[in-house]
Amino acid sequence: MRKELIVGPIVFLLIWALFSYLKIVNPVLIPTPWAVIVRFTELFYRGEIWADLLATLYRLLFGFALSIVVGIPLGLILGSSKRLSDSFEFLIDFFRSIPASALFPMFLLFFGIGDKAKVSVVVFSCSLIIIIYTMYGVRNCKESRIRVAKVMKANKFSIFTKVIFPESLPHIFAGVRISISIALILVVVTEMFIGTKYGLGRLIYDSHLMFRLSTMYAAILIAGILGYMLNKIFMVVESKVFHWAGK
Amino acid sequence: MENSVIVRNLYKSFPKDIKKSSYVSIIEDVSIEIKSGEFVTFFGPNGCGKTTFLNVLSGLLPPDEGEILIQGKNPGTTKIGYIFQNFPETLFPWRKNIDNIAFPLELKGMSKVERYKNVIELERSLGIEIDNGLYPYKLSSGQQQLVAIARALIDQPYVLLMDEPFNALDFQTRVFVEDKILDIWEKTKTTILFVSHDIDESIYLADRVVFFTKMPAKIACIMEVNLPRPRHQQMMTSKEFFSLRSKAIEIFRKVMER
Repeated sequence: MRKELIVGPIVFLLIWALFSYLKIVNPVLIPTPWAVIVRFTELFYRGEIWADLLATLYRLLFGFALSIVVGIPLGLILGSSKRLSDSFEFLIDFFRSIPASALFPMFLLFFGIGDKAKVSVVVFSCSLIIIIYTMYGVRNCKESRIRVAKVMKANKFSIFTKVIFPESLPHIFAGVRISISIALILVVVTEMFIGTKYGLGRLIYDSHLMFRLSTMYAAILIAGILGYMLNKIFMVVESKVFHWAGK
Repeated sequence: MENSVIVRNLYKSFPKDIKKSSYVSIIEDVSIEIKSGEFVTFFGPNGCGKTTFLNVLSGLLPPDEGEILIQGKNPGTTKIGYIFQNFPETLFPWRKNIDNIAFPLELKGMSKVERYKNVIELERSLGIEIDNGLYPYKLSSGQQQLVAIARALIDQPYVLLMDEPFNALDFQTRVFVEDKILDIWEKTKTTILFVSHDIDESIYLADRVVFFTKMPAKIACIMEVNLPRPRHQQMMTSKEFFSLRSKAIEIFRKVMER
C-alpha cells in the first residue's frame, strides 16, 4: 500500500481533534475522536453491534441477491430485442427516476413494517439499475464479433452464450457494483423510517434521539466502513475478472 | 483444376431508407470462377461495394439474384474463413489466444484436449508463434492479426475471405503479415479472396487481380499476375512488377472515368 494513503485520514483526525478539544464547535455536537474510537471498539468488544450489523447485512444482501436474480435475466431479455427494449425504455427510465424514498409509504402499505418492505425497496431500485446496465451491455456488443460467429456457423444459442453474454458481463458487473452501494443507502434509510428493532440505521437514529452522540458517530463509522469494503471488494473483482473490458 | 468458388450473375442492392421504398444497387451482374488454391485480389475504389461482395460470398447477406457456389455448395452450408477489416474487434478479448483460435472447434463440440492439440498443430504447421496463454489485447497488432488468421483457418475452410485486413497495420508489420499470409497460403493451399484498396498489395499477393468499377460494383477487368512464386518484397522493385503496376493504374484510371 502506498504510504500517502494514510496522510488524508491523519489530517482528518487532527482537524477533528482540533475542533473538539478547542471547542470551536459545540463539544456536545462533536465528541472527541478518542471518545468515538472507544465507543467503536466497545460496540464490537461487548458484542452490542452484532445484532444491528447482521440485520443490516441480511437485508442488504438479500435485497441485492434478489435484484441480481430479477435484473440480469430481464436485462438480457430486453437487451436482446430492439423492439422490446424500445417499448420498455421509457417505463424503465421513468421508474428509475422516481426517488426510492418517495415509495417508502407505498411499500409500507403493501408489506407492513417488517423486513419485506425494506427488501422490496432495495429490489425495486437495484433491479432497475441492473436491468438498465445489462440491457446496455447486450445492446452494445460489437456487431463484428457476432458476425464472426455467424460466419463460423454458430447458432443463435451459441452466439448468445459464447459472444453476447460474455461481452456484456463487464457492463452487468458495473451495474451490480453500483447497486450494492445504493442498496446500503436504502437499507440504512429504511431502517430509520420504516421501524425496526435492529439495524445500523436504527442504531444511528435511536442514538441521535437519545443524544448518545459517540454511539451515533461510531455507528456512522461502521456503516461507512461497510460501504467502503463492499465497493472495494467489487472493484478488485472487477479489475481481476474483467481485465479485458473495453479492449 | 476444379473450381473452388463460382459466382454467377450476382446482384445485390440495399434499401435507401427504412421504408424500403427505393433501393441502391451495390453489386451488378458479377460472375467469376476461382480455381481451388488460387489467390485472387479484388481491387476497386473506396466504397465500391467490395465489402458487400465478401459479405454476400460469406453467406452473411443473401444475394438478390444470382448463384454462389463454394466447393459446390451454398455459402450457408460451407466452411468459410473470414478476416474482417477491423480484426481487433472480431477477436474475443475475454478468451485467451488459444481459446480464440479454437473457437470454431468449440462450436463443433470438440473436447478441450482435442481443440488445444489442433491449435498447437496448426501453429506449428503454419510456422507462426503465438503466446497461447495471453489475452489478445496484450499482443501487437501484427500478432493479433495472426490470431485472427489462425482462427479463420483452424477448421480448414474451403475458402478464406479477407477484407482489407492489413489496413490498420504500420508498414513494417504490414510487410511481415503480407509475407506470412503468402507463406500460409503456400502451405495450406487454401483458396484466398482478398479485398484491397492498395494497388501494390493487390498485385504482390495475387494470381489474378479483379478490378471493380465504381458503385455499383461490376467487374471491369481481370489481370493475370505472372510473377514467379514464392514472392518476396524485392520483386516490388522489378521491371515486371512495374509494368503490371502501370497496367493496373491505367485500368483503374479508366474505371474512375467511366
